[in-house]
Amino acid sequence: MNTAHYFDGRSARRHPVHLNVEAGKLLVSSPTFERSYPVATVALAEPFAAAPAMLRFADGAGCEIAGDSRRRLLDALGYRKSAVERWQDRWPAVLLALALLVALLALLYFRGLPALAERIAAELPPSVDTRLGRSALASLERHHVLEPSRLSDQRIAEVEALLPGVLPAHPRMPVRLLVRNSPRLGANALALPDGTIVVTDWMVRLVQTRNNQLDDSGREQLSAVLAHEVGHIEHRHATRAMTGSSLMAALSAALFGDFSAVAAGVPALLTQMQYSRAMELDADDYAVARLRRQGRSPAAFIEALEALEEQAPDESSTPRWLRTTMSYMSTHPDTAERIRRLETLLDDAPGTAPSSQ
Amino acid sequence: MTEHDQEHGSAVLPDAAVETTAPLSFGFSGSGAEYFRIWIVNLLLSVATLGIYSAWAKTRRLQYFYRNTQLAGASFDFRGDPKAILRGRLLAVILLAAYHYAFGFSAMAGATTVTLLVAGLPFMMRAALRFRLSNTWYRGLPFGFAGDAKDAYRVYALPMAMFILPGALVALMPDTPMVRAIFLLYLCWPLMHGAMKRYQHGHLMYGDQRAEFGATTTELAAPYVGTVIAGIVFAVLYGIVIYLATSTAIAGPGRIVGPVMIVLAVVLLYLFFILAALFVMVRMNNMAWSDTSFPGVRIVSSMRLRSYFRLQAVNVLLTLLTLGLYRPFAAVRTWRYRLAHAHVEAPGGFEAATGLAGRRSVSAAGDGSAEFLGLDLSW
Repeated sequence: MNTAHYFDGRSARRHPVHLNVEAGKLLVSSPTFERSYPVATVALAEPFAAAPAMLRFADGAGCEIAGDSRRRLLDALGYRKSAVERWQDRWPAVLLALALLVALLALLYFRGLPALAERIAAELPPSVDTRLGRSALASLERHHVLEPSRLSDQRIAEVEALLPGVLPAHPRMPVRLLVRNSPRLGANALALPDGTIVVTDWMVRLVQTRNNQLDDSGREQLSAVLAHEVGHIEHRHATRAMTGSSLMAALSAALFGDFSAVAAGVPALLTQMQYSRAMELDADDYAVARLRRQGRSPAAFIEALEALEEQAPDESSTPRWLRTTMSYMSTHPDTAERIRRLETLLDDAPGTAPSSQ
Repeated sequence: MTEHDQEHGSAVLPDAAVETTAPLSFGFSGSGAEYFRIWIVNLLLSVATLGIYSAWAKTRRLQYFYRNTQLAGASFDFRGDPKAILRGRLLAVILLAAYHYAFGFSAMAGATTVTLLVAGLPFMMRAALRFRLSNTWYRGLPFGFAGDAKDAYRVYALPMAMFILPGALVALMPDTPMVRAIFLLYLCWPLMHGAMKRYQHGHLMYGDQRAEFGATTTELAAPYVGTVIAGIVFAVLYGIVIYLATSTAIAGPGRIVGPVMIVLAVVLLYLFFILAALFVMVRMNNMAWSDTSFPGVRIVSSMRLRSYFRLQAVNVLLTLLTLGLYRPFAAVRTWRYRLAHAHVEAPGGFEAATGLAGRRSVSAAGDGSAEFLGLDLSW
């Protein structure tokens, strides 16, 4: 015998009733009426610890059963807890759910998203690369990140002449080289998705001799840097990285309702983008392989990186322990780490001795 | 009322309140710890199914809060179909993806998407209200929403355009001063917000009973006026503080005082924005609910800025400190607070309401996408 409240579904009136299960039927009895419903037709909703249990009948009526005695009635009605209810009933299982959740989120973030981004990038036609590259260059020029070069025409021609030497026999897409002045980027080289490599004036000056000449050593260093950028283009790093960050932006927009990323647009996204650590090292490997294939020493690449490291002293003046943590935290490997890695690559292959003259 | 007297005689739960004019208060029988267990399993299953389970998770969340909420000896219930919510969420994902990527394809695709969004969202907002309310049950009867589509467009088209167009225009024609002019629309936001509240509350149904709503749009927008005046006073004080901070910075000890004052002023500015948002929310909520009544049933909401701010400050702080694990506890605390600061006056009980035959079932598409897009449909 259970007491409950009965609502007939036609008015808001509350009827106190007694409930009984007898011979496969649920009997609802009040002083003024009696109803009987086959147990099989009674719908039971998930009962929470202290909330009344809700029964619903086929004729639109329903019952609310409060109190602890309802357990036996629910059993008589054949209520079975679902797997989810049993799970959330036990604290150890709940804590396990928490651990699983953390593991799953980490897995999705570090494995799932990049894999999905790669899949999407592979589907994008080359025309996307072209458009992205063009709009990125236009945006960089519009915001005066890139200005016309102040180097002599002769020097620019010398730099441009280095490009064919580091290109593969059949490039994935036509590669062109631009020399631009950029106080904001300093000594730098960037590869845009459409096959445009931009080398800054400061980058050229960095590898010049003291009396502003571009000697063979300087040429080798620049060639190595260009080979690294060609690696980014050949392996389509820009488009792949952009797909990833765009996916992240879309996801965070969905989660947090922040649509400002849309207004900013893709070109801005591209200029803020960083290659992943893996991509940077991948381009390093590409450069080393390309230089070796032509019988040139990758040692010039190390020299170029060392020169870059020297002109950006902030990076190396950070405490050592912090740098180690930081380089694992950030996606961008610091230059010193790349140099060390390249040096071990050189040691592994003693056949190719340095020959930078 | 003879039947009613008879019922009173054998009532299991104390039911005396229904007969007297004493206000009826809401009860809540849930707890943070119980909801935490539901929440974490919901979250895990939602992530593991890449969001598909989130429709079921939402249903169970609403059921937990509704069924644990009691008024006059009866509980609320949510009977929405999770599959309908899932369809709504899929639609929302598609719309969101279209909005996010359309301008990447072409300006034409972008313009088409934006037009479709502005044209479709008001209709979806109405569908969301209808779905949520017609699936909320109390005493065996569903609530409902009787607002028509024409009013939905009148009320929602402008705010939707305001949220969606600036981004689209910046993408279409960057660096034109005209684009900035559209941000002037934000000045009309208080009136738009008031009109939305009026639309939402003025067309509430319970069973066959239509709600009456007393507040006008301008009355509802009034809290914003107070905030703007307070904002101007605050800006002047802020300016004086900054001036003092920078002018004393020249003198010896002021060198340290200056930056400290500036940091303090920035903190105060944030505090002001948070307080202003909470003030508007609390005042509008009180006004909207207290002016909503059904025949013979009056609702009173009496939230207080100070206690609500304290509640939310503790919620945010603990949620941050526990990396989000406090969230379910915060949700229960907020729900409890809202229930504790509302009551219902129903001297004649709820007997007047009866079921409305032949009410159509409504699609959840609007509900799902409205929540997905972060629009305020919190009831």
